[in-house]
Amino acid sequence: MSVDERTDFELLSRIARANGDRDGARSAQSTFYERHVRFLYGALLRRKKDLLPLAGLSAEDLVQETFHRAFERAGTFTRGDEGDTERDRARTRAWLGKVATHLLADHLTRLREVSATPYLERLSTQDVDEEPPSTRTVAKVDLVGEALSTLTEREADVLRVSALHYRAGEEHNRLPNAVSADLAERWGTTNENIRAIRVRAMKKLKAYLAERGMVSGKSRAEDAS
Amino acid sequence: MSGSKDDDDMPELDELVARAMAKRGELVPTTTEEVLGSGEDLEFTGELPTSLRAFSPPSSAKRARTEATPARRSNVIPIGVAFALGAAVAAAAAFALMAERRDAREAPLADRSTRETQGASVDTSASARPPEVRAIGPVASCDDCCAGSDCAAAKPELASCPTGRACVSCADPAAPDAAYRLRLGNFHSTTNIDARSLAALDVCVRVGGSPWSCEPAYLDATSRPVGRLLPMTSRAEDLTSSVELELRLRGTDKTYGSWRSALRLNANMFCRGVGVVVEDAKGEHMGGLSLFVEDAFYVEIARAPTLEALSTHRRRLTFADVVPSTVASKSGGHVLVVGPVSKPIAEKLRAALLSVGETAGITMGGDHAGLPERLP
Repeated sequence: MSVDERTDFELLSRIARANGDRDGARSAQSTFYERHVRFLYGALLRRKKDLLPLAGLSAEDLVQETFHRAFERAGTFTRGDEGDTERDRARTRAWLGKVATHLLADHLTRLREVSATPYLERLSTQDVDEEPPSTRTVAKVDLVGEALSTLTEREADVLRVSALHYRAGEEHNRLPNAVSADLAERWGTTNENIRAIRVRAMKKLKAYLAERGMVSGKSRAEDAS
Repeated sequence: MSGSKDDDDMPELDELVARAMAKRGELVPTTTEEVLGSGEDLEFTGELPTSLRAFSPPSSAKRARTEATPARRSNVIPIGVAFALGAAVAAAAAFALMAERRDAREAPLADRSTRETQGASVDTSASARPPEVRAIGPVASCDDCCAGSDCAAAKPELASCPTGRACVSCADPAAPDAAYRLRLGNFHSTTNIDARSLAALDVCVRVGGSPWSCEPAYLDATSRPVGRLLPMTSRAEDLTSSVELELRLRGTDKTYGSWRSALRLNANMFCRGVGVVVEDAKGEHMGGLSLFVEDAFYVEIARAPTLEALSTHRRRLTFADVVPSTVASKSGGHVLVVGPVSKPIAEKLRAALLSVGETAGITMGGDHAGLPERLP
């Protein structure tokens, strides 16, 4: 079997065994990179217009660093359902998306030490394999998508950065102080106001959702009792 | 920033916001379902930059440059400057995504206030003599406005419209020939309806004395755009007298819930739509959806058997403030259209097209099969 026909899991497994077979690992890296670089670059170009400048990164830098970090963690990538090629490829790309997201969170936090990448350390393939969301959840997501359109540019920016950290595993939905400070500088305001903007934006979303009957798991009869 | 007490009444909102932002293209997909359901081709199809043509681990110099220093923080670029400075990629990405975000707000339908960049339609083919390009418009000024991203006078709560409208007029919409089309969002259920039953339900709407018009209560975005237009058009006076909505078992008259109201056709309605809360016969809350009011008029510029022929025709024209689309015709072929827009704008646009020798007509889209799409 030529390298090109190998699954992503097989390529990453070869990369993880680099010490025993450097040439094979390099070849597997090259194949894996060529297979996914256009997806990752395209995704980052289209989806990070505000986050990349805030993190001081170019899309090219983040692409290369994502692959670098992914190869470092190749041994943590678990085998998926290789019977479905399209799904398996999507799974790998979701994992790369997680790596990029976690890296971006680390860069946004502006940590000085090379080894200080707490968001990246939380990375796993577990959430990549989540069950498809229910129809009810997707309908709620669509409604929240509508509600996001009611936000100002500033409110959307703050929520976008918050959502990035949420996806990177930030507990208690807390924005690190450094990130708040960067947002505050970006928008010409204070850290405290950034937090107030986030609270206000979430209230606007809730009000929009409540107007459309989306009260979490309750009926009006239950509310009234 | 720990969660405030306000977060307690909707603890899942952060997750929903993250999912919604990923779906809107504002975050990189991080689950298999998100990658599969992204609904767009994320693959970069152009020529890769030199720095990406092969895997190259970040050099130590570059890594040191990307590490945090206090001085780095002072280099954060204010939002207004970020799109003018910075790496070429960041600037190109910002430009591409600004256009995409504006397009996303406008949903698949052209908005009358959309601005088309001059030269965006330049023909780069190898033809020896470029075709004469005729300028059309402007036809859709946003002077007397109350809402929308193009409206300087908009109140903060109306500065960004989930309907996608960039300019909502303050003028009285209830003119005698004012007509609109309703657009429905997906129905979201509460615990009273399980997801399996939801797939078998329709949302049916009647305006004034019109026949009922029914659409599936829920459709994946991959099946249709989120939100779907009802085929019927409605007069303003009917919309302001009675709009009824029923949740029915598809193909039957069995009704599970209903809503009834009269719409107020003001700037708030055109910008944000209205929230519909569906209740059963006992007054139990079953769920809800968004209801939007859309313009109903189209200006047809040309018809052709192929999209390529329409693209050629399209390149002969440059529009100051509207963006044409194509739509399949029920009678075969394709149509180059602008719309949906209001009647006044349709009339201005038609007059502008006629003045440069184009043929143009105003319709209400009855011949359209599907929704207009931007030309590739």
